[in-house]
Amino acid sequence: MASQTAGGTQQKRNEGIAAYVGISAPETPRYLLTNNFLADYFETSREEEVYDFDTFLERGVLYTEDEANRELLKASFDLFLKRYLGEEAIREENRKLTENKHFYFPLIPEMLTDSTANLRHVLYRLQMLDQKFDYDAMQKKLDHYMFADVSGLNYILKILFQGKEHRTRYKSAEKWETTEEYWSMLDKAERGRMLRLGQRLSGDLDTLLTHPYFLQLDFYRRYHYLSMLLTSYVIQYIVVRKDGTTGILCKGNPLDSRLGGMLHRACCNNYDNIRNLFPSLLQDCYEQMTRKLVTGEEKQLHIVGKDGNVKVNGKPFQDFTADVTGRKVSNHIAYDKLIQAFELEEGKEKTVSVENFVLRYIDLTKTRRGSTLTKLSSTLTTSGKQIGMIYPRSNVRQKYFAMSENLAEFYVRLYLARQGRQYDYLEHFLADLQERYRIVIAKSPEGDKRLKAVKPRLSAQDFARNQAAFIDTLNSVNCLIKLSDSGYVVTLPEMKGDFRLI
Amino acid sequence: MTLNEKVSLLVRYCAQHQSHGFMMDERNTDESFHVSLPEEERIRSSIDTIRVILLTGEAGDGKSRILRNIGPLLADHDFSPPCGDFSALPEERKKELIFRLRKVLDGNSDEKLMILANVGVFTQTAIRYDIHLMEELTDGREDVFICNFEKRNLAEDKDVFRKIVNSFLACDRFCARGDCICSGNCAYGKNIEKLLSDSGTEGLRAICNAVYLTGGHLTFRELLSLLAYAVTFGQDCGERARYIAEGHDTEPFLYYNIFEKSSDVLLRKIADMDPALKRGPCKGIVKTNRDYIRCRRMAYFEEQNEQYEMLRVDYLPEFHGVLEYMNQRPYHYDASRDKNEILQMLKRGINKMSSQGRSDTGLVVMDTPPIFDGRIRMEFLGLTDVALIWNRYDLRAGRASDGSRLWNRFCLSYMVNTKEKKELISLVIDYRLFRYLMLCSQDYFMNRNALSTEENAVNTFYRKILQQREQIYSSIAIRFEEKSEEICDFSLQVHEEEDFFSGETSRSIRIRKED
Repeated sequence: MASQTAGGTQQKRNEGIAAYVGISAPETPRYLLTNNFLADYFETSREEEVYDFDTFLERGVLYTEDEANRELLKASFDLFLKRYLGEEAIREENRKLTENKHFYFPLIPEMLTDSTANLRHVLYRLQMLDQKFDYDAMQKKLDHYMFADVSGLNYILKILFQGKEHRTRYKSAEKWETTEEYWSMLDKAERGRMLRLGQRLSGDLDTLLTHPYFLQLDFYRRYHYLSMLLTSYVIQYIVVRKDGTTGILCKGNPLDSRLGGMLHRACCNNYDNIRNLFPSLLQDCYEQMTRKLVTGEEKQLHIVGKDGNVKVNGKPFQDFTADVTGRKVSNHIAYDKLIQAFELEEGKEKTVSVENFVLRYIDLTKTRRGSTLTKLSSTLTTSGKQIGMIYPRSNVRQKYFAMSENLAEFYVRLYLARQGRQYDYLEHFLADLQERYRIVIAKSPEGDKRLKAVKPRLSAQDFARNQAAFIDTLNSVNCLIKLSDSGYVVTLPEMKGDFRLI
Repeated sequence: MTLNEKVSLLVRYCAQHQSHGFMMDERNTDESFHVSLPEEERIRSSIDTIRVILLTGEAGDGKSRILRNIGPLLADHDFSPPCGDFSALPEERKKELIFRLRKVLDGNSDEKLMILANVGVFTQTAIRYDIHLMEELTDGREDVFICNFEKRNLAEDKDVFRKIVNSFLACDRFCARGDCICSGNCAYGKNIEKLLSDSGTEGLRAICNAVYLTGGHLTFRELLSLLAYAVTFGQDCGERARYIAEGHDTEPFLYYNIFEKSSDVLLRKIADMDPALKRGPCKGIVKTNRDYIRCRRMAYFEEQNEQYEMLRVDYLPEFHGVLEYMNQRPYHYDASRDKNEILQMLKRGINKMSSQGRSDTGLVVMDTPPIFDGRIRMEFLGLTDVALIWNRYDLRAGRASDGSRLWNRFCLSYMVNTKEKKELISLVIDYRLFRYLMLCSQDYFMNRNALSTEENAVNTFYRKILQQREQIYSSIAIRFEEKSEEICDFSLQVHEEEDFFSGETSRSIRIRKED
């Protein structure tokens, strides 16, 4: 009970900044993120169900004629189920999950379980921001994509699950006002960017849910790709929220030794620059809140320290900052520290601008290093790690974006599906990555603009090496056909053999 | 042409003097050397039916030479002025040419076209402006002659190769420099004599073949450069005489030292194949390391039947043997019944790659979802008896194979034979994959974080087969990587039952322990 209260208070505390950023923490592993996204469209399971050898045996859908080995079979079957129903994968990657609840891959609608919505339904709400978005159509496509497959292992699992509820229970779309309220922190330009991002997400989802390149796959692969797409859009959200131009300088391979030196440094700087979104949003958030509290035309704050109390615009400092941060109670700060931080003289009023006040307050409280901001920032790192886009995977400070083999294969598949092609020229694919997802791998004028903020001192040779590493990455997942020393075609691994070169 | 004149001509072909412009000039002015290659002969013999000639390849492959040779023939047969370098055209002209090509293919134009291009640039343009053009061009039309020289193996045909060597090295063997210090011990003469002999030519041919078989490509220019180097070692008579006068020996300049280390890319490749780097028998008395090297290299140029065995390239004799085997009629073999030893090893390699520790040769189709590691694997039992064949690379359902070619790859294929379609789903096995699978069959496993390219290729092949088979999912085996007393491998099988009285069918799953 005590922990619930604490959790509740913490949630309340985070509300101000989390609402401003749009998210409060990552949802891990990526399967939980996917489940939460699906839970925005479908009702979740109504009761806790345990799936194991004994329950299937009791329901008569599983039988054995080998009673002598029954215990051995039970242990083996349960181990197999734990893995193939997803419980192991989900729990291994998130040890904080409550033991009292079962989390599965949604092989049937009844297995869909949601978890704490740390991302505050950001992806769903990105879609909803577009007033032309067809929620019902998306719902049907998701339903078909997730639950219609009967290939691979799913064929047998569906027989084991017979008798369970197989019908998907559709939810209704969120009210427009709720979406509006959610996005109320955005200015006009930001809103425009988010609208376009939401449209891109819906477009990509539409491709993924309907194209044979994905639909011909079994449940596990479908689920895997859906998770990849959704998680990649969490990163996209952060990058697009940063500003209108920033790009992702991405290494062509996470571990290639050719990509050290300047390129490595530039990639780390680029990652750092994107991650800086969170402290700057925190500052913006506090400034906005402070402005709301300031009356009058001058928009300045009057601070005075007298007899051991500091007042801001006539309000005790602690109460004023509690209003700014959206907390019930603000932390107590010693009088002499406040006097020092705001350079006050006893009894003398001082006027400071809103920006100045917020900067000094953040420095004083060390909010930049606080747990709220750490949680927020970890969304980028954790999501990146989940899909193989941010490295190193260990807990080091300097990180960078890089293209793992699985991620590269996913982007190729999605690109070709979107284009409706079996293969396309590598340069077109690279241009699309840059244009659509701001992922810069090779040198181009457009890419230079995207990286302007970090001013990387990279030569054409650095980019050429990066592209060569990316070519190796694509090659190792069988997505590449070499035409000549200068010409490459990207294709799907399963179609590589069908491409007939001259 | 006297020997010394030939040497001064040959030395200019060597790699260190080589530049595209120079070689072009050299060959254009060298009237003594002309070989008509099979590609040229094929164009000449079918010029009446051809409407499109497309030659692609690297610089130095001989495209321009062919164009020069058949120029008058093209004019006689109303070909439009040929495009000598597609890559150099501005984008608009490229686009226009692609459209003209399309019109010819569709029969909407009487024009006849000849295009020389870099294959990458041509494919890029074709994909950009006419996505289906590539399929039509490669569809085996009679009125289209396509040759990608990058796939050509100059050493494939013994007669053609001999013709090139003979024509290129032909000279009087008489040296006009009577006062030469090397007189009576001229390495040039010895080299030419040896290389023109059967064993010498075959030795060089095996080297060139090995480059091709292992996935490399030797251009016509590189071949000439190699021949020139094998005779001159990059020195003309003057340089050589000075070198000998300083008290050095001529032995390092004898043909068999072509395996010596060099900075040149092609020669470096050849140096890596040095028979002296491989342990093996040695005739004669061997006292020093140098003796062994000389003995092995010389033996290589003598042993006409064991040259592939002597070259230091992993599994090359095996690979070559399999390719030769595939090149025999009917060009395909039942994968489960064929007893070819190497192919058996290969099957074992495929099994071991997916499941380390397996030692049988019965191919099992596995498909563990990539989101899981291989600790608990899924095998589809319905496919244990699947009809797979080993076949020649160019074998297609319902189409005869061009028996004259020895490809540097072959396939393991699944035959789809339904009412709707008849096709092969193939796993292409080139040298790289062959080597990988052979290594696996001998328990050399590489530890990687993710699947290797080779594993990906095999998995994709399996998945493509699975998509073709109905009812394939009704029986699977679950296998655990780590064995223990608490768990066992088991199978799950769909059991369908019809109620005798009501006629209702019910389905359940039977679980049983697997051995």
